Amino acid sequence: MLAKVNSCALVGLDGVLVEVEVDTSRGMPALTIVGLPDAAVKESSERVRAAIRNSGMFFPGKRITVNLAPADIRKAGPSYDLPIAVGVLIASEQVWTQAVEDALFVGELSLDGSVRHVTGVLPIAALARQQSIDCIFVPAADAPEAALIDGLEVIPVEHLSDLAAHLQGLRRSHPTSPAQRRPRWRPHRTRRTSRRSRARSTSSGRWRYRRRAAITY
Amino acid sequence: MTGPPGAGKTLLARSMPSILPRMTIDESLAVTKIYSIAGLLPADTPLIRHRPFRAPHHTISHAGLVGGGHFPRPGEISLAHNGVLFLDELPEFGTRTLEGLRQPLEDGEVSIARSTGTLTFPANFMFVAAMNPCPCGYYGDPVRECTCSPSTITRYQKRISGPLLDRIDIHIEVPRVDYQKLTDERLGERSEAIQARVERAREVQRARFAETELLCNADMGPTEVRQVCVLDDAGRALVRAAMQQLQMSARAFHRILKLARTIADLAGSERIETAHLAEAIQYRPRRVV
Repeated sequence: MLAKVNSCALVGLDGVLVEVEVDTSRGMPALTIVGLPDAAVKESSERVRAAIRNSGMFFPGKRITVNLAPADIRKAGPSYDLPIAVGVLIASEQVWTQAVEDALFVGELSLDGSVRHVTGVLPIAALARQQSIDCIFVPAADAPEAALIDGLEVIPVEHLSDLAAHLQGLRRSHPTSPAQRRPRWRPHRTRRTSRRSRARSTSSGRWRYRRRAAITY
Repeated sequence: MTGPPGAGKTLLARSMPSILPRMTIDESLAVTKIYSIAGLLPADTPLIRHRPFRAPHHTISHAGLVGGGHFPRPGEISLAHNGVLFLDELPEFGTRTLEGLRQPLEDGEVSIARSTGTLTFPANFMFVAAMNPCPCGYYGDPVRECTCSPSTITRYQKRISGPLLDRIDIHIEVPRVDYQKLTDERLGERSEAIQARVERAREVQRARFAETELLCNADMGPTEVRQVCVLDDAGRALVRAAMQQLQMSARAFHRILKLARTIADLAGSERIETAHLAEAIQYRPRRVV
């Protein structure tokens, strides 16, 4: 079966939409990546294989071909792990969903299936907005960065199994909410008060009492 | 900035970002984008609010400064976009490295051509550099004697090319600080006060260029300079004399006018007075030898 998932390549400071096509067919079990991948993208096959297995799903024993289109742009870095994994899960019919058409995926996979930080999430989110893609799946660590772009649903991904559950509608992950979007500024006073209260609490043993006193100060 | 060791050149440069106007949201996003791609975005700050300050060591390579590599990556000048690039010990930098700064200083961006394609990175930064006047560091010092021969001094200063010096608007000498001044109880003006004055001047400039795409005086081209920087008779006479005596280039002429306009803005003056113009002229480079 054929699956198509959106991802993004970075050329200079701008993102370019990359379509990750995953096809499974009968033949010798193998995963081949084509479309000008660099070493980190080629190694992605090993990470994807281990991450899918260790997330409680199975890696299909078929001949799998992954194409990163357009094939004339060089693809660098590990951020294609997540879209490739999602493509493999859809192509092997473990995840049934229509939700990936208007979505964009980036993320590096760890062998245990957790999703790691990638660079360039802000320009990627800007590209998604520009291409009128509604929803972007990013590593949980990078969600606040992606949420700087308005009008985009940013869904943080902690683990590949969470993402699979979300895509099937079993257990929804919550998008990074607008309240978390702007960095919150703590008033200077609070910090001073807390520092003072800490100083007091450590100097006297009656920490609870002292803390209340410091807050009303 | 030229001066003997320990006079406070580095300290002055490091306090530079504290008096610059705060970044707008668009500027913040542009800076964050560059840091995101370079993988230098701190995990706890999704949006960079402070103007960047970059001070690369003088052993930096050409590609490290202007950007490059097989997959072109932004260099230090792009990381200093909307902020300050500080090069300490300027003559120690490689000649090729420094000459690479020329085009970005003019255009505010840098184009990198590689076999994989041509890329343009933004590089609109404030360039600040510090150096000693000679290898021993004490040429022109009133207290300590310089031990360098005149030819050594000339060779040392020749390491920075004329075209690069021509692009630096403000040249200042940072003399040694004596005991009296160092132990003085009075403090200088606070950074916040200076920043407020700078922001007021920026406000004036924003109003001036409201109908154009320009943001500040530094963005002006020759046409805008002609419109905005109008001099009176005394001013014209002063510039004519300065042009002849300092053998200034056409670029230097325009830069002086722009600088004088900024000094007038900072002083809250509508017209460019002769004093503003004279201040701008005395910031031009003078060969010490």
